[in-house]
Amino acid sequence: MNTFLTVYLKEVKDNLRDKRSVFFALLYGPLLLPLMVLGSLVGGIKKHSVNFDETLVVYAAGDVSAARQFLAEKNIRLKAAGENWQQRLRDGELNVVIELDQNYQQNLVDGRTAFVTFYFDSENDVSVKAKQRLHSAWQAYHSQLAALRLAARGMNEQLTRPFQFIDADIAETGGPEKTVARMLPFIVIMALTLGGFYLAVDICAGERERHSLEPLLSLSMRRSTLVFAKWAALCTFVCLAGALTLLSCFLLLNYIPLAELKRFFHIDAWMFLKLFFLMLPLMLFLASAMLLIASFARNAKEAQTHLGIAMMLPMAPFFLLEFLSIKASKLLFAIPVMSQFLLAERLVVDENLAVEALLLSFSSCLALAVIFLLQIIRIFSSENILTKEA
Amino acid sequence: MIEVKGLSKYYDKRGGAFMQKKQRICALADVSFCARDGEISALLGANGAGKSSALRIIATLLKADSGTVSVDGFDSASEALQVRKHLGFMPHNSGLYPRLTAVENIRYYAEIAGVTGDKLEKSLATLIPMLDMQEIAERRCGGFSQGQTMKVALARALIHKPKTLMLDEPSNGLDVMATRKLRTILRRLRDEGHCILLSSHIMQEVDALCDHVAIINEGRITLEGAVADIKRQTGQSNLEDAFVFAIGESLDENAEAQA
Repeated sequence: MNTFLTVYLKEVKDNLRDKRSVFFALLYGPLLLPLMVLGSLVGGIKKHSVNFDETLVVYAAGDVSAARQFLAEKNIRLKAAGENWQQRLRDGELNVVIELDQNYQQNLVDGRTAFVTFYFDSENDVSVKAKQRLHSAWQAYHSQLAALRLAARGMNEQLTRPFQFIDADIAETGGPEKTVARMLPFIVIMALTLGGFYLAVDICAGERERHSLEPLLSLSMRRSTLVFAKWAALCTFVCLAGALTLLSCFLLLNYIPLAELKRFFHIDAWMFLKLFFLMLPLMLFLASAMLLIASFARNAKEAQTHLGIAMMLPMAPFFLLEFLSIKASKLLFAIPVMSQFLLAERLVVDENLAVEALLLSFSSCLALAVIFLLQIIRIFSSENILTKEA
Repeated sequence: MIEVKGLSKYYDKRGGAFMQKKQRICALADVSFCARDGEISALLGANGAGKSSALRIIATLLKADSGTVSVDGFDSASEALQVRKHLGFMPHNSGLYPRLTAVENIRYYAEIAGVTGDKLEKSLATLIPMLDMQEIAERRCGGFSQGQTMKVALARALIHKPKTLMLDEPSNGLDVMATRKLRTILRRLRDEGHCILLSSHIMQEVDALCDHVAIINEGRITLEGAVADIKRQTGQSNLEDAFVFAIGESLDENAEAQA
């Protein structure tokens, strides 16, 4: 067995026995994080979206027979509210109650304004959504009647409507879709850093702290072999964390019974596979960056502090893109992490990825990974790695 | 065999105060000594005398500012990998991997040193009973006693059957029985023809175990020779007095306390 493989297998085995490494790399990042982030995302979508295909049951106070047919066309069914409906509405037993003006029918015939009251509970999400749907259905009826009234009097309904506004969004991806599309790379990149965190600390600063580095370096092995083997072990954990995260996101998004998500996401196994390969150079880059930071530290505690601060950096592109409305330019595709965010959000909403952007992203990640690795080999070849006080 | 000639080593130490210039501290100055095959040699000195620096340079972990080191005929500066192949080194802190078992720790070092297959199994079959490690062999090293840790570290240093063995403060933290066991093992290795170099500040240990001693003080070798020769040269009957005499301190303990 060659030296590289020996060191690599030892690091993997040793860290698979470390509960913290395993928890963060294989459980927290890949499973708990998607559950937390996607869970709140799904909850938010569910809270604010209205399903027009589902039959809505609305409770009526008094005589609403005049509106029954029109509402039935909009898939809204009316039921008598019964006694004490106000209290039952507060208790959440009824979602929305509709009440028509006593002279509703007569007012409509005479061309006057008829009053329609929607009773709802603003503290109850179901009630608010039911009211929104009812309101929107009635709005369409309102516009239709207004036009008919004018036409019956020989006037063009456009007289009362000097402007018709049309919003034509030329953005490549829409607003809410963009936010949703950014969440997936956010979760994956966060899981990648969590996946490598404890391993980087253990195989570098930890090795120095428990004084195992000195006898190890006295063995007949090239320092570059040692660094490459440790880096490969770190890459394995980072890649494993990435693959498991993508798998759990795929399963979560496919098995959540929410039609709204399917509108935002292009969810299929092929997209997730492409996302994994898109993230692969970033995994190699992150592994070398974490190893470099840990190799500067004198002990495990210092490495944890430095890596903890550095872990904020991969999150920066998400917040920059989300809150500063940065326009994608070629230069951004040469910045590791930022380029993965940009490319991943395009992939998620099923856009074609430009070859030039992909090449820039891959080459910058790999070039930086190589530079970092050379620097780590330099550190391991220097006697400072042993003489620096822990 | 280890031959050290004119070895010097300086460390740059950053000053404590802000913007203070780096200080150059001399760890070794023109150090020369020899450790032969079939002998147990010792670098005897107080804490901070330069023993560990000398051993680390011999083990190719540090670079000397001047001087040469030869291990079994290989130059430590230009043939570092060859030196490491021929040397078994047990540093002051043994540095075992706590989540690996004793045997896994030893196997790891053996495989890096190129000892695999039947050769490795044979070495393990010899070393485990020799170091009385049968009970701890398959146990994880986290929580091992000092004695158990020392045994694993020694087995790790010996697994590739090096001709030359170096041990930095090997009996530190060991109880009487573990120390006696260590002495027995080292004598056995000496009788097999190994060159053994150890560093120590414990006079009784060196007196009881070593054939050849180099006394080191403030980075310089002050006296070198067989234990009996050192006693004779300093005119002292025990090694402790000979050591105190050799480093130029007063032999009168009361006078020292008053000073």
